[in-house]
Amino acid sequence: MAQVLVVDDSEAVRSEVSGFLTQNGITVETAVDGKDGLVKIKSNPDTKLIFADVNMPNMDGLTMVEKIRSEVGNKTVNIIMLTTESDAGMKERGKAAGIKGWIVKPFNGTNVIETVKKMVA
Amino acid sequence: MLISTQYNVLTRPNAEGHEVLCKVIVIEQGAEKLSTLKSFFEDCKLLGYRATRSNILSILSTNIDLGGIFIPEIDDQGGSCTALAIAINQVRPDLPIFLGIESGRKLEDLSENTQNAVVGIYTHGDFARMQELVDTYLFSRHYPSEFITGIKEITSDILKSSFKDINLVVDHPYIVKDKIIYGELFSLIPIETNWCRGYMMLQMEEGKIMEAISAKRALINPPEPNFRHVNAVLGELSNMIWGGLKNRYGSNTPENSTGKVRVEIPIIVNHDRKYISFGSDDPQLCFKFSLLDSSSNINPITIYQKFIFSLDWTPEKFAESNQSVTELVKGGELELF
Repeated sequence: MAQVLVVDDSEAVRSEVSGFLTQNGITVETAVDGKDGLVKIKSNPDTKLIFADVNMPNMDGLTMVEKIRSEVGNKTVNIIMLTTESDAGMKERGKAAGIKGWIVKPFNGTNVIETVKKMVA
Repeated sequence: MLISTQYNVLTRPNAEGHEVLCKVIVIEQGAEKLSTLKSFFEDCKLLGYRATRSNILSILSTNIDLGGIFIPEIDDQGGSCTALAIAINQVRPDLPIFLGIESGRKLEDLSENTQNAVVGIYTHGDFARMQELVDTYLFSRHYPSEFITGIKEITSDILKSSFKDINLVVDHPYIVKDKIIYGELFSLIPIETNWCRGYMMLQMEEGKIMEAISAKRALINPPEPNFRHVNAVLGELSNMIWGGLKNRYGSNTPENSTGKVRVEIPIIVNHDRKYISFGSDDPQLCFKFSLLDSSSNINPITIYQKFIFSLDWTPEKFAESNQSVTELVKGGELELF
């Protein structure tokens, strides 16, 4: 069972984030869009943390988060948005859906690793 | 269809005009297995084409509108096809490969390279599993039949009215997983309705359109046709089809905040001529970035960033963001809630 799920349509981002986390001893699974993310979280309900992009094909990240909380019923997994967006309205929507944090890309693993380790412990 | 008739057709399922098909290649694997696959393909609306281990790469090089490939792990001579699966995946990573394995075998029995090359495995005759793979990787999206019929009608009417004295033949619509461009010329225009958003492309060969223009059979009749006239034909075709689709399906598309009509103009690309047009003669705002290696181990990288505001340009409404510098979150920093 992976501790972290990385959801991003960019292979470069999936590779960068999962590579960094793996180097730090954290198990990672990836998904290519919000729809794939929903499938993965349903099959791995013990996932501790999700990094999610917003702008993705098939299903955007905020819709995915809302569905994780409502349709899937997973209210415990920590979710951090990792996105180019910094719009206040989007952040409010994310907060209302229970996300834990927001990172505007680019990803800087050093800035987040301690928080990540606490969230997956 | 691009697949040459010299390659054996395995199945050509009966389909209604609005039904979407998918072209798949099947590697030869013995009469009994092919017969089983044939029945399955016909039920699933898959157009099956037979290929051999020796000609599959050649077929792939000349066919760019495929959906997937069915390969047996062991062919009927007892030879392994997993190396072939890996080779195919390297040249066509977008094409899903379905590997037929022998009864009793599992995914874990395959090498890691083989597992990475294929999207799924099935045991010969396990139709439920095969259906699951086809539904997941090929027919993952249901297209409303009225929408399919409408696209064909609108586009056919426009093509028939745009080219004189032609017979129009329309293939069954089909799913493609390849991301390869046909021809050297294509147009790209966003499509937006209240239930779908995406892009429409028209891809074609410049020479064929030029021939029609020169023969005075196309939309325009210039005295000395050149490739820009081809672009004009393509641009107008794209516009008319887009308009037809918008009129029939896009009545609820949003207008922008000023109440202006949401304009869309097709982008025309001729990658053979390295030419792109946004349908406007406005100048392009250009930034040039050069990435230089101080130790000269890698060649300089030049990136041209260009902006063409062909859809809307209202600079009197430009305003800095209301966010103060101190409120901006720096890239890479985690903002916890």
